[in-house]
Amino acid sequence: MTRLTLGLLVGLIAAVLFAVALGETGLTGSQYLAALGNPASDGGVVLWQIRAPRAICAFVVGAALGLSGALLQGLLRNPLADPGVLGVSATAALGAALAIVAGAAALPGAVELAALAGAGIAGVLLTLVASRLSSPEGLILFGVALSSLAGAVTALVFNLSQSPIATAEVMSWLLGSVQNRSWIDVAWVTPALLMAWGLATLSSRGLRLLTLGEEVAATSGLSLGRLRGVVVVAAAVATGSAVAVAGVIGFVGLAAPHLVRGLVRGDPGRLLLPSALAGGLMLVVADLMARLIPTDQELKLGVFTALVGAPLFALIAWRAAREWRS
Amino acid sequence: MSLAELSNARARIGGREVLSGVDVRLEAGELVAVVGRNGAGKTSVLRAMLGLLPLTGGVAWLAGDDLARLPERERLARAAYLPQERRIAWNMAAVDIVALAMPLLPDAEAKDRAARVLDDLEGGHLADRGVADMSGGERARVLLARALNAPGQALLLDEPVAGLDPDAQLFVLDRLRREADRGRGVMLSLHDLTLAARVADRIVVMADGRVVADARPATALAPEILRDAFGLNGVWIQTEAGPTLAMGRRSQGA
Repeated sequence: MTRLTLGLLVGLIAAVLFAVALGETGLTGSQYLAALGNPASDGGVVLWQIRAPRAICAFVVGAALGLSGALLQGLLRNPLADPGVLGVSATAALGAALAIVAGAAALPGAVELAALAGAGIAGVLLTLVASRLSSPEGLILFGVALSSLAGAVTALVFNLSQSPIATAEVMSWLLGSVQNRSWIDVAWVTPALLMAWGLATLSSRGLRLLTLGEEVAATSGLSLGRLRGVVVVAAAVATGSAVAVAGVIGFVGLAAPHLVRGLVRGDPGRLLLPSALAGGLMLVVADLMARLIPTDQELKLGVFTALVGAPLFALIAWRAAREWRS
Repeated sequence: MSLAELSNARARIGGREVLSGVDVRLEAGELVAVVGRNGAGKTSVLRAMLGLLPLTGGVAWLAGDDLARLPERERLARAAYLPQERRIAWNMAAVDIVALAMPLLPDAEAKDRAARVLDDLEGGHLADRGVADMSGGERARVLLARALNAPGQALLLDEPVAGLDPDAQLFVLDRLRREADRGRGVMLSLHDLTLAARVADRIVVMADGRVVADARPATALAPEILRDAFGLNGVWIQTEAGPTLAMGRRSQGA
């Protein structure tokens, strides 16, 4: 285990402990002690049934988004790629919104599968376009268009929906949050993350070879078609499951790889695990801050990350453009 | 058996035929320069020999086997490629870039080997530097080191000296000559005809997707070929450094 991974794990454990210990409901020392010994006590319920699954959910969703970002950036050799920018999150959200408005929310797993299907469709479209476009900028523009189209269709769904309750439910969910998430949500998203991680490990060598372009990679023994397939499925599964559980949370997928890229000397193959851990850490901390900032209505996690992430995105774009001006 | 060969190869890019019945081969121990005007088909020849440009007719052979039927790993073992494009997506350390040539080796072993190859190209001081922080010439050296570090016996290099200063050009060509002398086959595209005549065992002249000459330098770059394939009036002058081309554009009547 590298020092970077170890450092991120330590930070993550500390952040999760803080997230479990701190919250709106103030607990006394004796209540904390009781909670540790008896999960059914009042304090125990707050810690283990409300805060702990919420923090772990934030971690798993953040890790899934961080991993997706690292995978897509590596595959497209573009520092601006992430599931949000490329429209994967928006199409996953569209899938889930359609399922909710159609009344499928009562069926277990229906919304989640619809989100996964949406992410999968975006993944297939992006792969097709990537194989025909040599320009990374062109692909980003396609992703932006896809994201806009998915957003427009989602708006159309609202427009035509006859159920104000379903519309409000989708709206609230689209803003992105891990509030009131339970261990059941954790149990849903974790296997998806593990599956995406398994696929990601298969792709690390290929992503490294892609650093010098597709033609050099192809003459270095890489099967590009297989790599594209593995990466897109991994990113779609991770993003789709994250969106299904927590709604749309932007910029984590973009920012997490950038936070750790310098620490792995730019190597896209070694970036995957640190990006997942950094994404998880970011979201646990962001959710804790969203909870602790005193507002009448709790800040939605997706709103909070977007407020912080948008300026970061501009900064990354600026630096990426400068770095390669030569 | 040739290390790499095209037999009656045809290929199209965007509706235009870029290779029209091309026959070229690369043998072990020789250095072959591919020359021609812009758009004549130099890069297409190299890409077709590596299977990167699909053929619409003819066959590409790699060490005796039909390239289209070779698995990817087998291609790596037989041929290495240096493209003209020098963009490197991430700011990786030079030694890690050079180590990409040996993707099947364990990391530590690949790095050791990469460091030795960089040293040999007088680029040892670059090993730990990020490639985004390098000059164009330094980056070119790192990319050349990666190609030389690859296991393939056939080395196909697209404009390996483009953008380098004169001393660096001579240095690179000297190293490529040494690779050929050690038994590899080296094929490179070049624009500088004087350099091509000095270093190559054989020169392939391309024009409009066809091979118009494939011979030793003095024959391949004879005045009539310079006129027909390049639109140049040229005379070869023998100097201490080797043959030197004195030339002028035909339209200027020089």
